[in-house]
Amino acid sequence: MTRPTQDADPLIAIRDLSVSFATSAGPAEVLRNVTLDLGRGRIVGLVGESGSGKSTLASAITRLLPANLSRLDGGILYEGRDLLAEPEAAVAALRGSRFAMIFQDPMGALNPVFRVGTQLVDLQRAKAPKASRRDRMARAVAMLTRVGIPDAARRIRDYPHQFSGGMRQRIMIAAALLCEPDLLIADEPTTALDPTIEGQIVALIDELRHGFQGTILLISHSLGLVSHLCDDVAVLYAGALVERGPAAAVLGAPRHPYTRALLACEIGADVVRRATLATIPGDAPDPTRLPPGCVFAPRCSQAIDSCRDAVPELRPVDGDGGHAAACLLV
Amino acid sequence: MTDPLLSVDRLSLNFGPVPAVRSVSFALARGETLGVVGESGSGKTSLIRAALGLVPPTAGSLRFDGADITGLRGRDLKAFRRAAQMIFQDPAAALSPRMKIRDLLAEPLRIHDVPLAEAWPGVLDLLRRVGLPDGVLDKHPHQVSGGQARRVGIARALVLRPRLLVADEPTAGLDLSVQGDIVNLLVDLQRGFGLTCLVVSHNLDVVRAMADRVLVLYLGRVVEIGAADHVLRAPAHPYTRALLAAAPRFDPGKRLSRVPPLNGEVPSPRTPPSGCVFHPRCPLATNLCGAVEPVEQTLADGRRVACHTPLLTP
Amino acid sequence: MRAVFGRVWRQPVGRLGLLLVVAVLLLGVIGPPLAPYDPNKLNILARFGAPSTAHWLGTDHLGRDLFSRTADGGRVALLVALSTIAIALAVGTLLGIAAAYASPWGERAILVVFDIVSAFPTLVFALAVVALLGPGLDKVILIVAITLIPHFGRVARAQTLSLRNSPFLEAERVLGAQPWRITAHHLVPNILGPLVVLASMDIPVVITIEAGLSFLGVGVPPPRASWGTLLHDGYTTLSQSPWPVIVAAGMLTLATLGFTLFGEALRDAIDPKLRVEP
Repeated sequence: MTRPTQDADPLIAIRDLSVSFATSAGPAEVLRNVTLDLGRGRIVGLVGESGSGKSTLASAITRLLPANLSRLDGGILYEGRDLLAEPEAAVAALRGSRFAMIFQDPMGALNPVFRVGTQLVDLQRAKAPKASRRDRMARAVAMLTRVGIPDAARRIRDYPHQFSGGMRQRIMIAAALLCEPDLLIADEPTTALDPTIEGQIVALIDELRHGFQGTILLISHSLGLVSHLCDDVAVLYAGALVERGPAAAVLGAPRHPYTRALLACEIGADVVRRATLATIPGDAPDPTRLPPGCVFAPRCSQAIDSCRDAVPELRPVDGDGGHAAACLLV
Repeated sequence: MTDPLLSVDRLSLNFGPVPAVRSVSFALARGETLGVVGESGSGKTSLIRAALGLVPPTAGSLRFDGADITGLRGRDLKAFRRAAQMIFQDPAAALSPRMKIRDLLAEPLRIHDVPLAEAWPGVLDLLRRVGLPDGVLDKHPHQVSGGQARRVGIARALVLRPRLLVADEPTAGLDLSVQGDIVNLLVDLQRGFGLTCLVVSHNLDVVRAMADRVLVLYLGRVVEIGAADHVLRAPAHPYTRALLAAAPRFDPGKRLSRVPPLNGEVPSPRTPPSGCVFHPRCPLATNLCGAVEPVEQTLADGRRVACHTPLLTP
Repeated sequence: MRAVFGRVWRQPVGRLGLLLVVAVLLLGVIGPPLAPYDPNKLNILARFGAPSTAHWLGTDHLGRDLFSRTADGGRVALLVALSTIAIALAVGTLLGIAAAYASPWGERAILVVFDIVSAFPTLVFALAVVALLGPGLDKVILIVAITLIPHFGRVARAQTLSLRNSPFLEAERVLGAQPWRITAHHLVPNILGPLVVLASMDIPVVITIEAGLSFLGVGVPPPRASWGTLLHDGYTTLSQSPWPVIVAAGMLTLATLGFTLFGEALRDAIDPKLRVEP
């Protein structure tokens, strides 16, 4: 399937998004001037280490930001509206109907006291308010079957705790797909799963994408997962978008020193036993005391003096292919 | 292998009626690193807890440095504890929350009545060696980062200069850029202290980078054990192959892997399948596999595999 | 510790509680030596006196100085409350930890004893003991301590159960630490928070029980002053003078209020999760 690499009319356009949280040590700048398009029908991978702000980006789109939010600037454009300018209730109404979410821990997202069927029937209310309960139940069974729950017609009467972790994640995927969302946010969907189960979920997502019209935002620290599933990749470091573009370009020919260093940390199948593994020296900066200029400069092996002067802009590196990096040296 | 440091012979461990480990045998040569891999419910944690004498085995024997360690008590148990240490999976949770790092590092010495004044310089050396600044000494565990807590856990395990080090998921929950640091550190310490290591991990890459030999567990049984170079590059058991192919590898340009993902999930150890416990999920299973439990066989390269139809001929 | 008191002080309720608690402690500790009169010295001519410069809080039906008696009664109340709580806390914690680590049978046995003790009404128990052994301060302490042990025991057991399988306790085992060392150095410090909160909340309860027992004449034997006996004596002579009742009831109210507010603030300062929302 060929998809346009650069979407003139993205589903969601994030513009100059900055998010800070109030902490006892002062404001923590969790996202700084992030600009990113989520193209229609594409799987966009958001890669970064803990503290890079990748989950906050998803929370900003769905407006599920924590109470200690101290700054929310920029714009998130969706269907001609700026979600950040809308009242919270208006964005809340989009959750469950236009935006759906899958989390790392499906048990936390399923209500333990209701049967799975009840929950899958109820969540269709926003999408199909007129459909009968029987129709909704039939759709739920069909969707559970599609995501690979054996004997779905019987098991739909079970409670969440009666399913294994992998099965619960399948139920979450079914729940998300039943909403027929424009945007599906999957936040570390396989992190809590065993490798063979992770493999099954990856194969499932890969299979379902063909019948799914929406956009998927896949948040993961696993380069393997992202490289297998994503069309586009965006790399976050300490709240800054350092590189974005088509997956093959970003992961195959990374241009930003951080992306390169991160990819080098992945242990390859050909690793020599007890050889020294690649690492990134130093620690990620404290979000309450970000360094001036490029946030990666203090750890960057190629940094020059001017890297510390100004925050580098995201600049195209391959003409109009959509691959861009925020580094003075490219 | 002559005179192994640790030898485990037909070890079984039941929790009530549930068998968690079934007749596991292996030996750990001095200076060697053995990787233990398997999914949740495979019995990895139970196996290492039994190997450290934290739970009494239901059957089988454990020998450390030639001496039987099942049912050790008092002074002998304390001596064994000093020689066999462990790095815990969740490092912050394994540090007593109300103690300062300084006291946490002194604790092993106090327990074993080692005079602090004598041993403390060695502890400070160790602290630097694991890459911690002296400043952490006066902090509490919740005041340091996850990577630092892990380093404290490593230093704490080495304060008594053990001979056997068991590392339970040493890189679980770590970022990619820190994972390499910890693996490098463990390899360096293993060389420096001449440690014999048992590394449990679900991350095959980490095991590949550290282990001389690999033991693959499935439902409490050894399905394959042998040199890491052999087992992780040319697996003989279908489960090992599936495990290697399962997790999506970073492979830019290439899409999904060649081997189809394994169907189904790990069965409950309460009601293990008949015959070969892996047969309900095995793509190569025959009628024989469902009826008869395979006997372990030794292949030409020395590895042991429990399969009726191994992927390599004996 | 300082941080905890700082957090108590920052809450208005905690500040009020702390001030009242300090006031009661001062009254009980340095009040008696500073008091102008012997609390038991009779002066029939000056009976039923209203507060004056000579007798700051007035005098009772036998002309004893009410301030001196209140201070002495405060000392009795604090002595009973603190020693009772100390005994109940120590014994309850030990039994609770023992129950958590005991075999299922041992655990059940301890819990049954807890149930029996807490099912027994304190007052009836006290009357029985006094009938058997006669009244006395030591008996009051013993009775109240026994009835409070299950309180602490249950909390200690629940806390221990939740920590029993913690990796940090297993880490100590791996290091070779003996069970007593693990319990004393690692378990107890981590279960103590909720127990201390419980203890501070139980102080006003004990003060009230002591006053109640003394009021009924089965507590602190006369002539020793107790807020309960003060209240009782004042009550029987209420028609002659309201001051003994006002003083004794006022002190009791201020002390219980102070310790209760302080206890609640302490609970919020140590762990807000312990708060039970109404």
